[in-house]
Amino acid sequence: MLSKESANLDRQIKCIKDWIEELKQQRHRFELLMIILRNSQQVLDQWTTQYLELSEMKREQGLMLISLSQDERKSLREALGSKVLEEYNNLIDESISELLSEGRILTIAEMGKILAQMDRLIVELITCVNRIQQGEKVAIRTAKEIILKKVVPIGGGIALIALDIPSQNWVTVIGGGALICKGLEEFRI
Amino acid sequence: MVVNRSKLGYTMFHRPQSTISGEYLKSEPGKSVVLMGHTSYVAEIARYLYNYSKATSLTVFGLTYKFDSVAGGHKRMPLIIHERSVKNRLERLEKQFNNLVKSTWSYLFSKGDIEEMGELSKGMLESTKKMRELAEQLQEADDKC
Repeated sequence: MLSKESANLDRQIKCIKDWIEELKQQRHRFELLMIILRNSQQVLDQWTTQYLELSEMKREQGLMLISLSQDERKSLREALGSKVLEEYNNLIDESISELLSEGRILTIAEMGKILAQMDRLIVELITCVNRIQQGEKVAIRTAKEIILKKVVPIGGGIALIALDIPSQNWVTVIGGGALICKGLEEFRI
Repeated sequence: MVVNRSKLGYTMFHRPQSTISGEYLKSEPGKSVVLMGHTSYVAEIARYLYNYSKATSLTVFGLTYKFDSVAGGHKRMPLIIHERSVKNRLERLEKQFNNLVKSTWSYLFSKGDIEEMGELSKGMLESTKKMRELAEQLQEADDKC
């Protein structure tokens, strides 16, 4: 009985560790993307100004700010699972709308903050693993809560960014960043 | 209807129900003006701008159009301004931006600092899928506890 419980605990620790490793890799990819975008900051700023003008028109006409193609939806469904797709769609629209209601869009500097937030998330999860290994079972619940709460915004945001890198659709790339930002902002150490 | 977009630093005249008062325009000299709506509205407001406010130019989405052309004995209206012109500018900027991104990417790729775009994208998606699967496994383990 005890060994079954111990095996279950080991499995959970492994899951958490694997999740941390994946998050580290995603963070690295996100950082590379930021380096590239930052290099083109000036043009992106001009583009952002124009995009705000256009989105203002679209909002007044009651149009969606972001509409995903069928292929994008299919890939997202595969990556995220159909259950979370609806939640994800609402989140991204909400995130972008919030930024636009302030008359702005997510800046590269703000996207850079996402990296710092991811770092904090990684540290928090590593701390949880250490606590679990020292016998603090309550830390398992904490780690799970963090992961389950963040899987949609982080996974969804990164998947959206990933989908739009090859087509270079920067609205949704930035939208993906906004989604991660929103998902992580609740996270406080 | 006159909408003040102070955050964006300009005043927008949008779909006026009737004519816009020339007096109003005169009362705000030097202010940037952006026009939106159907061509007829734009032309109408532009006419007021020219006749009543002594405006010599009109700035639309960062571009300045001068009222100095004469066509057929009438003052020519500024360019037709509508959503398409913004979209065109967006497309041009996007192209410029994409070229910059591509050259930065190529440079980093040649140094071996980054994968090619498709690979990075694929890696992100696969990792996302794995993160979801791991979260599901954790959720199941929680249910069993």
